[in-house]
Amino acid sequence: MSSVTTTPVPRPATVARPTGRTAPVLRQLLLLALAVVVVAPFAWMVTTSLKDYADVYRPPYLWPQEFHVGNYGRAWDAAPFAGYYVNSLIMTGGILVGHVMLDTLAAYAFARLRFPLRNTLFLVLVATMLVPQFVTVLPAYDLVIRLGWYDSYAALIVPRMADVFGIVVLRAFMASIPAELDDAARLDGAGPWRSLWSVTLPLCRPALATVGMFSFLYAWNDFLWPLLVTSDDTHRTIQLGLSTFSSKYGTYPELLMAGTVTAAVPALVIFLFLQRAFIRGVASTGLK
Amino acid sequence: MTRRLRRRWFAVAAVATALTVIAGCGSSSSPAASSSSSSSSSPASSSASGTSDPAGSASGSPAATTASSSSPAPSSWSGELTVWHYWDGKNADTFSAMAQKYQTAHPGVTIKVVNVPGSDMMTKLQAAVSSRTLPDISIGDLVNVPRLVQTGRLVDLTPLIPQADWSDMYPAMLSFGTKDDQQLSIPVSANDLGLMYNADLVRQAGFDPAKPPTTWDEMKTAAAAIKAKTGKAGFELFTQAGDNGEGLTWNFQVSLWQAGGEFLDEGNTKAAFNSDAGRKALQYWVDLIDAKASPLAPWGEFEKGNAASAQEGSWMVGIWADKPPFTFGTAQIPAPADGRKATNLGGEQAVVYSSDDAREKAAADFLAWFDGPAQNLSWSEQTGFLPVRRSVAEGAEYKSFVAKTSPRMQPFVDALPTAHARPNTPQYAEASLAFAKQVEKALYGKATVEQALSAAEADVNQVLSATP
Repeated sequence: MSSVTTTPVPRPATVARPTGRTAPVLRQLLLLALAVVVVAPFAWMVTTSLKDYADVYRPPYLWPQEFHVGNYGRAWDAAPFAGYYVNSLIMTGGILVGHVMLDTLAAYAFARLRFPLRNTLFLVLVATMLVPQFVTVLPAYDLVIRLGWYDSYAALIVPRMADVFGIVVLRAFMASIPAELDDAARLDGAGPWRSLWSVTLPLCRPALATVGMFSFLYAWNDFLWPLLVTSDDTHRTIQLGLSTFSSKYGTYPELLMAGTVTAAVPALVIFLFLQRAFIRGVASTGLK
Repeated sequence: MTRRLRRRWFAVAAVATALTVIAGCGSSSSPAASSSSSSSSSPASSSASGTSDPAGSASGSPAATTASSSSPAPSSWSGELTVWHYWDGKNADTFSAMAQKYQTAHPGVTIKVVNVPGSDMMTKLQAAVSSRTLPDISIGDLVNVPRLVQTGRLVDLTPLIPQADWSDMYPAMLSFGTKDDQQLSIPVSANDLGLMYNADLVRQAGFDPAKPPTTWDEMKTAAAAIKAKTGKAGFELFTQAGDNGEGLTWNFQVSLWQAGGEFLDEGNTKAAFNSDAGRKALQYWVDLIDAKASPLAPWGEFEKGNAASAQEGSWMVGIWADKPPFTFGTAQIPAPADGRKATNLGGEQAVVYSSDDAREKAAADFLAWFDGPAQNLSWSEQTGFLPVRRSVAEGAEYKSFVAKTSPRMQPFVDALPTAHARPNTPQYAEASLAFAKQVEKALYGKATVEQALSAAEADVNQVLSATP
């Protein structure tokens, strides 16, 4: 993505005059092409969701010309989607809160506090990122069963309330905040809690937005874990619900896409919301 | 800075969201092929059942927590039986309605029907085996039965289901759950492959849609003529191995069996397809492709209207019943003039997981009822699955039902006695992928028929010689 933002710098000499005029055009064209690449799947998804089953594989692919809005109702009725939605929101909310809280605390400790083996512990923590999730799934599943959490919100949320990625991101961000700010707070009598809450956290908003968004996408899109720890519709999430439409005996692309649009809406909304928070965070902290 | 950041942010987020959406679209284009995809992505190993389980039988299966009387007679057993299946839509509704009917007739027994996403059934079952959260019954793709047998948790159904029921079922269906003299699974639904063709394209090419080809030579001629006259492929073959290979393999097996060949040897210890029959079958496919009669493309050209015919599963008749994308006809798959008729068998089978005698008996009782003549008839009529009982499939009632409501189903029913079963071995999924990968090379002209089959033989033998 960096290629998008680093446009070729025209030489300041007079020779560069024509380049200076064509460069923005080229840049816009490049951006336009990338925008198409990004938007096309969405357009296809929406268009397909509005088609009749028989027309799914026929053009037009990107621009809806027929509007079988009923697909949405049929998709919604095909499975208890309202319940799936609520479950997804509860699970995602729990994980999101867990990540933001626990990751922040851990990151602050690693960035600011001094304790024995601090760097070693951090290295160990980072090293766990190398272990693929699949390796830990079965032991974690076994643990959840023994705790008697099978088919419960606890099983969906608790084992995944903290993640190393968030800690690494937040710690790096906190480390970049001048320690003098903390020192000044300490001179004013603030302890570590106060310092974290009133000084560091407000400055960390951009990083928190980053962590929050990745946490949200991770939790909202997770499939394998909810599949394993839930037994039936009472605790199933929306991603499991979508698999209803791609069954062994024929898929229903138009219903799958209608369901997927419905499932993608919160992701889009959250993104737009967090994007604003993110910009505000950058603007208000004066950090560059 | 702010603007640049924002732009970058949007890009990152948009890509992330796009990935999200794409991840949701994974679909299995080849039915009966869902077996290996789930296993490869999950480390779940069935050997985990060997470890001791401190939670023990006290926690039992989730269903075991309900009250159960200790009376051994199945008629007086009461409690809840959990059944996992992956059917959806009408199939799922019909199954639930039948379970309800069973409950009404058997007060005290509750059937808890749970739908599990099909492609993840094996992942979930393997995880459940290792932590004792198995249901009482699971109903899944018959190719996966040998892998379930391997868990050592299945109940021998031989004594629990009346002999009259067993002897009425097609022998090919029973081969999947056979181990020594035990029968560890029971077929509950069936389907097979047939020839489906686009009547419009066939007519355009100057053929009579009422007279589909019956031999390989006729098929070659017709497919070439269709290509010449309509510009569209005449007969779509499943040419790509993909990530599990089964789509290609199970379609090719039909040609192999028709030519008189076998996929594995009798004891499923060695490949048997590198034979005259195997070479003949593969040559048939290569000839069709060389003549451009079959496209080298991802599966689905026929369904999109870009090819005139294909081997399709009997379930397509039902899926297309209401809104066919084009006028289509069905027939039995053309066989070599000097060969035999054959098709491949698909469908679902049920297994019962060990618990206690009374419970196992109650579970088997439900399955025996479900497969009873009356139930099998109405189940087949309502879902479009083929009957598992010979007496139902060949009975007058079912025949007149098919003739009246969906005559295009009849060739599939007629083909049932010629249906072969895929090998009953837990290594089948791996063998299937190894085979498909080599055969794909011959189809794409990167190897000769002989080279591809020899290489496939070596690879499959290696898969089979490895300890499961």
